[in-house]
Amino acid sequence: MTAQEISKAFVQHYYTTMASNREGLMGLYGDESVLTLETSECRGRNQIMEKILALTYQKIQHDITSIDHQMISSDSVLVVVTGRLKTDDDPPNSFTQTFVLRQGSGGIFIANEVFRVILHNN
Amino acid sequence: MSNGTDQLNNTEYDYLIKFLALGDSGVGKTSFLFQYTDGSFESKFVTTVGIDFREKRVSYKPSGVDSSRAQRVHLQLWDTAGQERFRSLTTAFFRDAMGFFLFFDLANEQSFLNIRNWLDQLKQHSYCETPDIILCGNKCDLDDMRVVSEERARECAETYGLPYLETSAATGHNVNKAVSMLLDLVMKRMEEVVDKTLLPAQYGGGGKTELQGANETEESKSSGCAC
Repeated sequence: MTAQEISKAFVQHYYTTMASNREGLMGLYGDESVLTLETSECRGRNQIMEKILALTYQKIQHDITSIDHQMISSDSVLVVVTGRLKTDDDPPNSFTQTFVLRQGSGGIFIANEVFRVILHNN
Repeated sequence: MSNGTDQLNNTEYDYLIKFLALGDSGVGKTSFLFQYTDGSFESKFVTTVGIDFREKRVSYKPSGVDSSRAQRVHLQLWDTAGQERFRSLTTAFFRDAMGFFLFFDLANEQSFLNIRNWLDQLKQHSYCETPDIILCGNKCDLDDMRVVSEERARECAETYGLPYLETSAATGHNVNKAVSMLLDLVMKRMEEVVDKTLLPAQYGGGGKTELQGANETEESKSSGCAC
């Protein structure tokens, strides 16, 4: 698979799972995974899943605007996603999410992930 | 529709007051604002900052002043539009608001415990260290699900020096009261500020002139003496 194919397939899988069954994201994280969600940092699968499952919305939809990718090394791909998300009945918010996907022994997993809602101060 | 447009275009008001509703997600901020505006005005959304707000016109009559005309107040009620779910609030929320509703859910212990965090953020980012805040224990209609007693909530409010109201966005209980209480606090503060800025010109300035006059007299006296 090329980096483009990997990132496209991953993005589709990730956001579909996020919307339909958040618990299903567990398989994408390993013990070395690091997630920075806004101001909080979580390390390892357990902490990360705890954080994701504690988010208070019932429903979430993502509308993806762009997916960019780069090979970092032979076993790692950088993926940068921008788009809009809608939680429950809240108005849509823009977001950006960055992933480093790595080939592990059990397949591709998320080594690093950074999430931000895009806001401005003026 | 035309009503909303008229509201927007009508610039005939004395004060534009911005309030911000804060608190954990799910405590009923949006429902509260919806209840207050009777759901009759379309909510507007500022996409860039991510602020959702509703508007309403009210008239404000300062208590204890019978003769004065009621002030026409254009209220903007801001909502954090779900961003608190990710704890991703821009400081613009806090900076531009003149008064705050701090909500917790009477049926949710954690939302009550988080009041402290919200107050810390507020003090750090709002226009001053002691902004006007009304603490609202919402969902008081769900009596059988209540986990925070009124007594405990009042103690907490007292500790932080905040007025406390039990509200229900569902039934409307104390919704208007909370808004008018906050408006009263903010208008009083504005009047005080206006009074202070007027003072130096009326009294302070006069005092200074007098003092200068006294000095001059003394100087001329002493110079007279030296001669």
